[in-house]
Amino acid sequence: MKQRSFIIILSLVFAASLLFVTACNTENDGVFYRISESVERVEVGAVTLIMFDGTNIIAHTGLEGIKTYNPTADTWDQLIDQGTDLAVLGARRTDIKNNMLASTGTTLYFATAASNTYNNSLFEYDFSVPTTIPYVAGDFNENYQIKAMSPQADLMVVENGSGEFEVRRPSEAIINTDYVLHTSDTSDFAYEQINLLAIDDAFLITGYNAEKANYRHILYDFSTETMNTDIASMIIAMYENGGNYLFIANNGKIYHGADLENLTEATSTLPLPDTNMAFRTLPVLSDGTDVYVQGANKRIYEIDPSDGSVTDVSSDFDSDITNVEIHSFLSVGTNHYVGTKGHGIMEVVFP
Amino acid sequence: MIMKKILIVMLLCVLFPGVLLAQDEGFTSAPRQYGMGSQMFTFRAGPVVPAFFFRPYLSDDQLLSFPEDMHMKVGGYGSIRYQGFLNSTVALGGELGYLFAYDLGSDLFTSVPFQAKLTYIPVQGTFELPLSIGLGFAYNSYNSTPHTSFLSFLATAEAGFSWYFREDWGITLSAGLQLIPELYGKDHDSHDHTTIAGFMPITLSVTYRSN
Repeated sequence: MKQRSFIIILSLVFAASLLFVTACNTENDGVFYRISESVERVEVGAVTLIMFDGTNIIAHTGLEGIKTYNPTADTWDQLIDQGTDLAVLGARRTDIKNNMLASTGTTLYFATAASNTYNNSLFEYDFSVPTTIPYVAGDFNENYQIKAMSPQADLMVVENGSGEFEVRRPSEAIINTDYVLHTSDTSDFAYEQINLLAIDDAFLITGYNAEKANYRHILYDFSTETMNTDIASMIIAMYENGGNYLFIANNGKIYHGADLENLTEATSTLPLPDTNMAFRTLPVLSDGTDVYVQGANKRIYEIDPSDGSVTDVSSDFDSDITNVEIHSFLSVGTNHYVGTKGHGIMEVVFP
Repeated sequence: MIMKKILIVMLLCVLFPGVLLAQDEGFTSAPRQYGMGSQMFTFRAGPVVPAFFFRPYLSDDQLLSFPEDMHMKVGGYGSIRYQGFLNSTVALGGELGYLFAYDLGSDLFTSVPFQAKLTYIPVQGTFELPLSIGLGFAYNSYNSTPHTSFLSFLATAEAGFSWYFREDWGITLSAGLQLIPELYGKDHDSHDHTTIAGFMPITLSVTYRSN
């Protein structure tokens, strides 16, 4: 009888221990907590923030093309109407891709992805001069192809049909096809593996040459051009403050220095999402002083520009921000906004 | 869309006994005497109402009640259950279910509970009052980014009202509570995210019983 009681008690203790262990998580960070912080979806797709026109944020959306968002009223409107405006272009609004946008702060430029990738045309949308058909199209030669544009800068990379990549200002190119900031031989990069990152007038062309199996990165810092072929990865983010640059590669490595030829690799590595980041731009969130990026599992990391050190500061941010995927960032004065994947536009407050 | 599916399943649960009744209009119910060896097979379906999240280690918002505060939507629950009677009033068996509910961002939370179920039926006859408790495990998944899943302990309690429209067949309307703990050790970074979640399935069941 005693032995039977002992076995029963032992079994109960074992079962209780098993239940306790299985109820304990070691890898997750709170499923029910994350659910309680979930944010309602805004069905516009991934949002690329472009500019602020004084009232509205102009943004590219993955599902509905270019839209305006009023942050005060929390309302969305279509900027480019499918039925009338785009009919002129013979394109659908989703033919305007998020890497085919540029802006000056008052004027929006965009190109459409035609089935024939040649003979791209550049279009201008001037908010100060609304017209029935608010486009001015630049005509270029039949081999002209826009390879990449930078949504928050007046910059684009084109392949000019003569075996050269050119960096141009859309605002200039639309009236002067000869205006070129930088020229690279197309053999410097594989044809489709090129990306353009920009901060104001400073820009970085980062790309891969499949034939030579090497990476090439060219930084144009207002008047100085520097090149790097040592970073064997695409660069997906850059930040500049006081002449010091911070670069993040798509393998999570962080580099800092005055230009591309004087870089130091940080000892820290940024945990990036599992998805292929090679041809994406990782948005850098900054109020001008502190630098943040979103890494794996939606965590927010602070990066020290002076040494590239990485610190997880997710708990310092509003939980709304750490429950969405950040796709882009825009500062409007002292207000800061993030464009998200699936949750529209949200204001972010820095700690 | 999901609510529509739940309503369809519940409607079928209601119509199914009607069809059986129509096949045997001469049926008159007689009190069933359960005993050792009596068995029950039950199919259940219905909506599940997220009831609460209790986070004892958070400094604020320790208790969030009902879907709006929990950032969840009403979901659904379905299960199959088998029980054998130990004596005239107590049955012991198992239940395998599937629970789902979407969060505010339309990301799906699912739970597959499997549990040992003890049912006490104090009132028996054409109308019965089954009272059940269950203990087991639940495999929980949250289809957000990052996708996460975990196995947890499960405790359930429920009360129902049954109507046996034929000697072997009955329907039951039940309401209960499922407790799913998500525990983090005190040294874990997410210790304060430790949560006991409560879900309230409201189900309509079809039961077949035999001696």
